[in-house]
Amino acid sequence: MTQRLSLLFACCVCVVPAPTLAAPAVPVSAVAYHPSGTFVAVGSHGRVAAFDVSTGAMPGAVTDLPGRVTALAFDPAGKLLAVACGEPGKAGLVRLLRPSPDCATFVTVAEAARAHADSVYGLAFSPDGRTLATAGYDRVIHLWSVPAAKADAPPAALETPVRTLKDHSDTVYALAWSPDGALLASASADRTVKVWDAAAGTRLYTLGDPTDWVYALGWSPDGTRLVAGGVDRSIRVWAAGRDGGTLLRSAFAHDKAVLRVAYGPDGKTLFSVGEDRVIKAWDADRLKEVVTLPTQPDTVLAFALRPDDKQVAVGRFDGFAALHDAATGKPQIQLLPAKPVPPAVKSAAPAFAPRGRTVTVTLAGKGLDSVTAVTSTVPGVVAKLTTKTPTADALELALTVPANAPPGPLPLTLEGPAGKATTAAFVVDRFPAVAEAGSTDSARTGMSVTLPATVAGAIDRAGDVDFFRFEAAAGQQVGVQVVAAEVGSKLDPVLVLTDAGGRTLAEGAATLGYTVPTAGTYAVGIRDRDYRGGPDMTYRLHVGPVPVVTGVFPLGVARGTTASVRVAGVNLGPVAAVAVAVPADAVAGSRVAVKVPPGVGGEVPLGAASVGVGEFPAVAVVANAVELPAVPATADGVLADPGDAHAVRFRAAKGAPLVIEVHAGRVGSPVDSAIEIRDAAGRPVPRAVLRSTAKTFVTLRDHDADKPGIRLDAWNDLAIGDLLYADGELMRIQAMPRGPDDDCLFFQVGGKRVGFLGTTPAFHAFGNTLYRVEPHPPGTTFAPNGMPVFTLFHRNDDGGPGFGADSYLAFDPPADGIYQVKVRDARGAGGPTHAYRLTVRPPRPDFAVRVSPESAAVWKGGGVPLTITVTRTDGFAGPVRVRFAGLPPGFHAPDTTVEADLTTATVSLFADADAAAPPKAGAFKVTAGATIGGRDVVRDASLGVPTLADGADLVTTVGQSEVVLAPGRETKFVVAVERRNGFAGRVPLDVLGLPHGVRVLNVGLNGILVTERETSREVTLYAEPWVEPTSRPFVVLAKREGKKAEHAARSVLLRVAK
Amino acid sequence: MRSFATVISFVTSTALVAGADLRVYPPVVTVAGPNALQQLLVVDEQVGRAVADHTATAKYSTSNHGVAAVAEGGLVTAIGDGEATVTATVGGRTAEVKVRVERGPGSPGWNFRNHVEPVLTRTGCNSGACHGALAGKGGLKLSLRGYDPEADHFVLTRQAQARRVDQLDPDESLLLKKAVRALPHGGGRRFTDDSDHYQVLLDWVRRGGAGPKEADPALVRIELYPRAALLKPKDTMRVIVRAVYADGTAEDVTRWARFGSTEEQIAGVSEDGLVTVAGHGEAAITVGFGTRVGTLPVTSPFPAGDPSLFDEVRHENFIDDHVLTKLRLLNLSPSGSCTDAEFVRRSYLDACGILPRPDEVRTFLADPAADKRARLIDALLGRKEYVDYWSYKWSDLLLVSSRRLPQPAMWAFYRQVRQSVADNRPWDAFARDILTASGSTLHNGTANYFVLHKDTSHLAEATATTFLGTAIGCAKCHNHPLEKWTQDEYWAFANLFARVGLKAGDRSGEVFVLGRPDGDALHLRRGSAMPPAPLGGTPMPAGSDADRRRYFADWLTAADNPFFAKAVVNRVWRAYMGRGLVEAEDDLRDTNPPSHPELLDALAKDFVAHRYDLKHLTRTILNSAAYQRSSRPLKENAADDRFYSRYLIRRLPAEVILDAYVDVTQEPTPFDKVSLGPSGGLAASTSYPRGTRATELPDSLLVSRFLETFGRPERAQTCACERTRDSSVTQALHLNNGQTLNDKLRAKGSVVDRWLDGKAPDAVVVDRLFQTALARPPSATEAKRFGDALGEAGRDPVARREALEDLVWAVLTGREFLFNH
Repeated sequence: MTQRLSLLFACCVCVVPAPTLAAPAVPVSAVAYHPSGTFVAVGSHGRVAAFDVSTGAMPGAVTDLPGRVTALAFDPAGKLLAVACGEPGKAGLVRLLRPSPDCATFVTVAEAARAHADSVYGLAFSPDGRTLATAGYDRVIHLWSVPAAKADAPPAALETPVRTLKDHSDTVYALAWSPDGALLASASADRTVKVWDAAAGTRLYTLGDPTDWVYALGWSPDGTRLVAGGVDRSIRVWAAGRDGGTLLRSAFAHDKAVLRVAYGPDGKTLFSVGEDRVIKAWDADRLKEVVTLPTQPDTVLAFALRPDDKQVAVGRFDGFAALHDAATGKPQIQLLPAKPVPPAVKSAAPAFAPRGRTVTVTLAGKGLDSVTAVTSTVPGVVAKLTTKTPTADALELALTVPANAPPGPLPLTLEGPAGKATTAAFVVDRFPAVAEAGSTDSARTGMSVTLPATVAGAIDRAGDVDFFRFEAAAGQQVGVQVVAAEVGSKLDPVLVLTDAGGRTLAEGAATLGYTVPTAGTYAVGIRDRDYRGGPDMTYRLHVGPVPVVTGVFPLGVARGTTASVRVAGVNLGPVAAVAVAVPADAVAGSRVAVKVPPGVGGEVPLGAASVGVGEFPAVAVVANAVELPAVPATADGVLADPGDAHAVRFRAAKGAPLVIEVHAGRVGSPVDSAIEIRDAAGRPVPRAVLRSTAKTFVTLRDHDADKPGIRLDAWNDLAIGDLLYADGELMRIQAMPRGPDDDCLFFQVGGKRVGFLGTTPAFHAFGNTLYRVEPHPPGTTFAPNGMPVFTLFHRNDDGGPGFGADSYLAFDPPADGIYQVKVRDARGAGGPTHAYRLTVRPPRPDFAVRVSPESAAVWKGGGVPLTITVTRTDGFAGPVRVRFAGLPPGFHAPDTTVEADLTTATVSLFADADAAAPPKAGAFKVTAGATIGGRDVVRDASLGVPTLADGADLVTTVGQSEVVLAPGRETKFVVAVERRNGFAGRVPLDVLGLPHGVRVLNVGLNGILVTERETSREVTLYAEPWVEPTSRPFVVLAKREGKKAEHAARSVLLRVAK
Repeated sequence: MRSFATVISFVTSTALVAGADLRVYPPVVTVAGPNALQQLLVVDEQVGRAVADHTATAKYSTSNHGVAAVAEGGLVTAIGDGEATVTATVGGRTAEVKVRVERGPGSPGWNFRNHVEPVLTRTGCNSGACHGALAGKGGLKLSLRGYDPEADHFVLTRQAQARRVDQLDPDESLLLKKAVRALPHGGGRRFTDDSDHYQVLLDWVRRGGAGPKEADPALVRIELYPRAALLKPKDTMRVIVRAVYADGTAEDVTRWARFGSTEEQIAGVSEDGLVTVAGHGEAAITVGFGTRVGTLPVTSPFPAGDPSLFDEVRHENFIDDHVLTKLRLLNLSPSGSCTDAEFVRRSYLDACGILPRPDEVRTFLADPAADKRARLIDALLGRKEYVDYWSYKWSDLLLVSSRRLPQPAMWAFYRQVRQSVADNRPWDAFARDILTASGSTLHNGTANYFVLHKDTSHLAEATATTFLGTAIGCAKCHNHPLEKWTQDEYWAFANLFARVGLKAGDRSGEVFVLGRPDGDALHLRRGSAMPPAPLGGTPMPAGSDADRRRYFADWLTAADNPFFAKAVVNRVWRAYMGRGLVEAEDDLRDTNPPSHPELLDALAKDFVAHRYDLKHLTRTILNSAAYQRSSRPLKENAADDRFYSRYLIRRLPAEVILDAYVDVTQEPTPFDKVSLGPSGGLAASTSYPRGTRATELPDSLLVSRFLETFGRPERAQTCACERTRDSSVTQALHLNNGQTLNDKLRAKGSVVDRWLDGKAPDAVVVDRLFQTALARPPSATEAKRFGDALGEAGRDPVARREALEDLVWAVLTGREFLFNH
């Protein structure tokens, strides 16, 4: 049977229903559609359930019915549901229920506990809904007056029938009202169909054609036909009216008895159900089979046709109820038995436990009654089902959590016949848990906890910070761990440890470690990084002997050496230092893990511990100063106290440039370094003097330090390449504003503005003055020009792209001698973990190359822009030649150059219209070459082989393959766009990859736009007078708005020639 | 008529001067420079106040005609070096003054900086409407009120082919001929050719028209005589002004000084310095000369009232010493003490911004202890609502808002402000926390102060307003017209803030604030940096690498800082007393003197002595009899609104009214929409759960028509003027037609619902309403009228609900509810 079931439902049910459990199936004995056709009521033993016919969801059910439900009927208005049920041989009960509009609840309106002396099979509302006819095994037909379905009325008894019709001599199996409500027909095991005057209660006539019990009966929608079927396997159709009936047609319909018949709403189709488990649709007039549905696997006990006749509901002896497409018989939704539910856990109570205990946990969820075993991947966890019998909603476990289980979510796998489910509803705490309570808003007054403790709380509203106060002894090591995202919380935690007065002593994110200096009260605070809050921002905060690594020193170890690395932290046990050996072939800058031995309680310490691979001999800074024995070398220091400044001394020679570089933030230190070069006497060493030659102002808004664009008040004195100085930042113009509502663009890498000569990008407030400056050698003097002169020293805060907050300085020593680098934290911060590495070394000018996108999808017959980005190091500024190698046949990308000082170039990767799909694998790469210090240097970037894309909405074409432009002049070319696939919108154009100093002139407010009415547009290029002759490709691309797609033309060669 | 007035004046003056001393001012006349004239002032003086001016009528004589001559009317002219005594005689009484002339051989001639510029300023030549305009007038551009003598000298003597001064024929100088309108002059005749002004300019030209020199004696201060005046309406009093220079010399500059009055309706002053009293009260005569200003108070007592009222008045602490002294001087009888019932509502609203609950009122009223008011004050200062309310006020001052800060930064800022209030952090430490903040704006919230004020000038100006209670913005472009601050001092001050660096933080919305090793604020006119110096403080040593913000904070929070403590004391005073000792609260300047200078000094001194403890300050104010006076005016003090003769009735702030509505109606205000700025529309916010009170909001951008209408500050600029305290038609319309109150009354679960459900008797309902909203039971009349209104509605729920809503509405829109009294 299972196999047949699965075959039948293979098309719609993905999960094969599991074998039913030990309990026997409950036959589905009655079904009825709500007149709206949106719900179907399904009756079985003791129960009627309503189902949504489109989703199969069960909004509600009535479960307190005595005995098997034998018949169901909705009144024509859908306000009442009549239920017949009862114990065979004893009584037939009829109950009237009022369903809520969504069939979620049913209110009993009236009931006749002993409507009949035995089972009720016939149940039919009159078309006006006022009369309910019932009949059954006791051979009588009762007509009941239906009480008005008034809200809130207490249930009434259906007192006595209005009428009782008593002519049948055997069981009455079916009743049917004529559509006008005047006639009632009844079908009986006495082999007759009788027609009654409902109003008068008199029998009009008897149709005696059937040769055996009659089970089923129905009027045609127009009220002119009566159909019946029964044990004689035939369907008979009579022309019937008030005055009598004439047999029109009869047909042997099924292999076994006909159980149900029903007319479709238009009267043209007739459905029948037989004991042979077959459902058929008939042409009602001709009584010919139209559709025979697949044989049902078990006896059909209940059948109903949806009012729109598009769907039938079938209920079977095997407990199965389903909705089928009436035309094809395809099963649509299985209602019963409910598909076996794989176990799923919603929650656990308690939801947490400390380690080293066995707790009784009740899981709540679905399908839990089928769970046979519960396991966990965490070693040592034992979960046993208790003796308490599980229900579908609840399951009780005895859960043993070993003492070394990791705090956080404890995954439990529930196994049952319907499948496995792994859940993390349970959380392991380090320590016994207390819930956040009372006011926790301040370190001064926060909730008190006793260590060790796990605090369960929530950042429940925006701006919330929770503080927990605790007592600690002098020297006590306090480790803090917060578990949040791991248990489904949205919190992005920030931790702070303060003294009783709220002074911050230590900060952290997910962990924090602090050794208490003096006995007293301290507090741990937790908040969201962005001060968000809400009920879903819960956390579990573990405070106590938690092993936490807070830092290592030094931050790096030279390759080929072994160094003793000091590990700072709390609860780490006796370990103070770990020997770290770095192989000689390790890559400089890579990370080597520091194997910190288990801490207190044998636990793996929290917090990553690793060092960077260094290259040079290192010395430690002692008493805020150190002298490097030789260059290159590295100094390792800790800015232990706020405001600390260290001096790293080194010897330098004129003509031998050096690079000074800090590694701190990049290797996990909290230090935001700032460095300055001073001479032996401690005087700052000037780097340049900046003579102002013009000025302008910041306008429109305050500008932050990240963006390459700044809105200028005026720029008629300015040109591309000019240096501007403001707020300590020296910046360089990359592109002029294209119009009055446009920003001036400054040199940038990765969208972030770049500071020159060691300056750091700063905020520029509305109204601030920007000076155009000329850099001159230190000491240069000028005749006054009414503008300020600024002296730049060898100072740096942030090193620029890739350095984060770490510092970097290029230093060309003005004279032989001893110099010193002053190192400090830019914000004046300091602390035991504020380590840094400072390296003094000769520059190694170099570059790396990168292409975006890495794997391009190229339009067939079109192009996409490829951007080549060069990352320059140690002052390398020269041009980089770019070649594409290994292009698949039919693909084109021209060679180009990343110009001196610049970092990007753009070309079009173009595919011919007839290009074949390239092979999946290949050696497509970019080869970038440059001459550095007389050497040819080549760097590659591997690329994914491009793929071909079809269906471009736009094709962009530039009429010429080459454009010639003279410096200081303009030239024009035409871009044509062809719209495809019905696209008719406007098309913005962009021009990329132009040489420095060449720009597009005729840019409107919306950029370069091809309007809806146009198919082409002229573009004007202009070259600044200083642009040197050059020849390079550039890209014209059209943007498909709404799809964010770019359609490039084939690269065009621009020749700048005098 | 005129003589009649003089007679009256004379008679009344005599009456006044019983026991007065005859005085001649200045006490000593010294003449060392070209200015040979000194006007004398002869007055009767009582307890340091001049009460009658006899200058015009006194008889004068000199002991040595070779040294000094004295004319009728008291004008002394220096004749030759030496000493003389000038005697003034009034009605048989005499007073003397020593005159010492030390000019030596040869006169130094008029000084451009100290004489010529003042003449141009006094005669209006370099005023904003004339040649001091930004673009000048008629091709001649002078610096506004002479703040740039070097440039002015160049302009007058050399610019445009030296057309304005004729060295060869000084009388033909264009400068003079225009001024006396010998040639057409758009500015009219500024003076005549026989005037003193003309003579000064002509003499200056004749002697070569020298320019300002480094060695010119710098003006140190000006002295005003008399020091103070106690007069009656229609009395007149001459004011004389002496300039004191760094070299120790002094001279009469009355004829070049500028005069003004802070209260024209009490005392006016002519451009020559003649004060005429017009009404009762007190006015300050402001005097400006060069870059210095001064004031003298003119007191005009009210008609004498019932002196016995002073006998009954309570006296709690030093505040009352000063307030009562002033009231006695002004003949303003104080109102009596407020009742306990008035006090409990008043103090809850003023200190915590909340209404007292009926049970709190009952407990307080039933308390027989004599010190119960003091204990209530202590209890209020310990409440959470005190922290909310004052966090809100300081957030107003500091512009905590998401207007220009991202949400996380706004929260960080607010939390730190709030914690400081909760900790009662000393004001000096709080200021230092803000002004020296470094690091992440998310970790160290007060660092956002520098994000809000990124521009150095704005930062300097905002800091002056926030912590010094004074506006220095005018001095950015020219010397301050109302204050002594010069443009140089402004830029020296601004330069203290030039090394605040802002760089991008680790995440969006985060900014790192740090000290920069270099950078200067460049003087707008000079183009170079001034040595960084606090206002009136010592400049930092040249080349100092010290943290400038720290240097400023050290100066600011030093016990002897002349502005810092007064600025905050005045703000707190105003919050409780309804009017600042200086009004507006952030307009402290020499030309806007406090109503009670000694009291402000005493309060500031006490505040500093108690380590800048704001709660101590509050306790002192709230415990004073001045605060605890009835708000009911007496006929004797009805005209007073600034001397604290009674508690000043004031409309409750917007947030307090809205929260009080919540307390009475039991229906919270939803704060679920945030304004995205002028063009950005609205965004839903879930940051403020139901039940959040208006005074708990950290942000000023939560949408509330009510708060907007009733004057919530935008927190866009540092100015007390952002909060509207007035009543307006829009407010009345909002109360009548707006939805704020109606929504609360109609809400399910509101107090109206409960009173309906609870089926409480009408009398109980009316009583509860009055107790919760007004902190008092209804009067018999009120109880009857309200009870009748409810009775008429009957038991029909709809009608009864309507009647209940009407009653609550009537109370909550009434003056007694909306005002603190």
